[in-house]
Amino acid sequence: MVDTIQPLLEIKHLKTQFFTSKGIVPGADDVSLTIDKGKIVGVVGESGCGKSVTALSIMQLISEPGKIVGGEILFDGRDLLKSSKQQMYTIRGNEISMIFQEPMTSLNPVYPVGKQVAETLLIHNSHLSKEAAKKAVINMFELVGIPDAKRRFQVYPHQLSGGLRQRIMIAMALICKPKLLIADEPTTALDVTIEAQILQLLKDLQEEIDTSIMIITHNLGVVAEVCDDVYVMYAGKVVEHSDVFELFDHPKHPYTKGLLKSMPRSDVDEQRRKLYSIKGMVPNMLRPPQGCRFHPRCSEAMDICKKTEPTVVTINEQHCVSCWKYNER
Amino acid sequence: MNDILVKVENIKKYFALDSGVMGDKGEVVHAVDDVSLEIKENETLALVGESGCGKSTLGRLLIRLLDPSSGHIYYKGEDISQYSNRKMRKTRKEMQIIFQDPFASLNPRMRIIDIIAEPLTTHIRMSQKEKKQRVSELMKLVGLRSEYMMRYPHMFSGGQRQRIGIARAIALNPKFIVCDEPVSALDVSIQSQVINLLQDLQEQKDLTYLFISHDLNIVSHISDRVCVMFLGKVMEIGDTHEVYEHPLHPYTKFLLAASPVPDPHLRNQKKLVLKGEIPSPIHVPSGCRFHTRCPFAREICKEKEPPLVTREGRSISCHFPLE
Repeated sequence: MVDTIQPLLEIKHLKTQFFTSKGIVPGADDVSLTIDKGKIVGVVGESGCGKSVTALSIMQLISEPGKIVGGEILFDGRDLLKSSKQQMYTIRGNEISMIFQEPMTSLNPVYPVGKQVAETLLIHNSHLSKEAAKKAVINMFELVGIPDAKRRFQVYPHQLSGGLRQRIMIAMALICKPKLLIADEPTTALDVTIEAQILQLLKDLQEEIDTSIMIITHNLGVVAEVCDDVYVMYAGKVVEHSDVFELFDHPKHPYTKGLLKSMPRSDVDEQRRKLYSIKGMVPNMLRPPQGCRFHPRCSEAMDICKKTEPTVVTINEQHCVSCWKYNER
Repeated sequence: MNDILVKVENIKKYFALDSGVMGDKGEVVHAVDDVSLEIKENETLALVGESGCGKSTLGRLLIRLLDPSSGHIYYKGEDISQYSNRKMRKTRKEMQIIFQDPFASLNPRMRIIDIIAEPLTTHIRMSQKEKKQRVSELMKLVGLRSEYMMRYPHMFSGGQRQRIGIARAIALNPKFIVCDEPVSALDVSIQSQVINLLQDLQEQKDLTYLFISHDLNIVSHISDRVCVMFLGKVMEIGDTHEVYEHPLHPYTKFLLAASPVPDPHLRNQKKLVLKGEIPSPIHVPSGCRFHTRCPFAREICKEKEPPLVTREGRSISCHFPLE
């Protein structure tokens, strides 16, 4: 068998900027990212690094004063940025869907949850009868592990726990069997035992309905748990991209290395050791640093880092890094 | 052997819910339900558990920001649970709290100098010059530049704000600090900075911490002993290292297993995933409160509540502890 994995989503040099009264903020700056069919891809970074902006750009849900100013987003062969509003309506929720961090605010409090999930299905499949939609929804509820699914069709969001609400959101996102599911911090608001349940569910569903998943998170533990590929973002840029094992075993970018080292771990005996910490803080994106954006915090910064932006260096087939350290070979 | 600094005995805190419109009986949330524990001088005791297990309520009870429904709190051997406000005020100089949300816990209309100096000016008379001097020292101690003291909170990042909160907490040279999820609102790269700061301060100032957190990786790093709570009750208390190595309570074991480990090589190990949801603290399950989720539960667990038994420094509340 010839192994040609087709990319499902290919973002090329995406630029999304926010035109604020104080100046232009580069939310996503020249972001390139590929999601292969059937893969779980993680996008990690700290708040404000552009990971959510990238996801919202795919969905074209960037609101004022933000604007996508350049690049291409190729989804299944089409450039989404060239699609009309109408075309995007048929793609959103149907071919690409999204789940958000806070399941409480993403559900409408005055409608039963079953109705809300059915609505998604009916919008995209107008020929479907209400009865059939209800049946499909209850099936989906069962698939995502909602106990007592028939009765739960009728309940309102406030009657459900955080974990169940997130399952409802996942059911809503998957009801049209999308090709790509974008999960923006899907477990951040949940307790650890519930987080473990949801992560397991995402892994199982990925195999079952063969959806590609893009997980946006700040938690490297979540990445290690479920992702195949990882993109590390810092200050609007992708700084490193790799296969998950390679990234944890041989991180290249000083930022990635710092993040991994600064995480306390319970499985390693390290009590009372000082934690490594990356000095300084995330830059103000109204005035991002010149050269490499990480250089003011980098322990390995050289002169060139302060002046010129690094280019992407390919370490091997699965591993790219954008850092001057690897540029001069 | 260190002396015991804080001790609670059979402490309970119930919150009454408003009675319904139909005149039905008001219900009660069992936030903290009969908890006894000790905190030794100079140690860090971590309080872990899922949301709603009563860990924050317990933290607040210890420094009497909340009044217990029943039970006793001892600080340096004295029962402070019935202290009058005036008497409490003196004792409270020695106890402080650091809050989770550095955005909500600082008054946006106050300058940093006034925020940090507030505990000082409340308890001690001091001149403007002394105040400035002391605030500047405190800011340096927590790694902030003292030139910033005239600024307002919104001009600082989350990590810096948490440092301001810490400076305020240590202003009166307290002995005991309740850290209520002090780093969970912060970014990963900032978290380790604040954890290191807390550890440095503990060493320099002989502080005792109650460290409330749901992040088991951070707890393993920072604490000497750990107390696992579930639905208002203590499930297990012991030396952090020993508890992590050999959890005796099934809940502890599942909680530890659920915590994501930043190592992809460990991902395909058979994961222990706890079924079900956290029961409601209003209608607490009979017997052992964990029995509805516990895979090892037997008949007796549904009927009889297991007592907290202490053996060799390890306390556990389970009819069938793990081996």
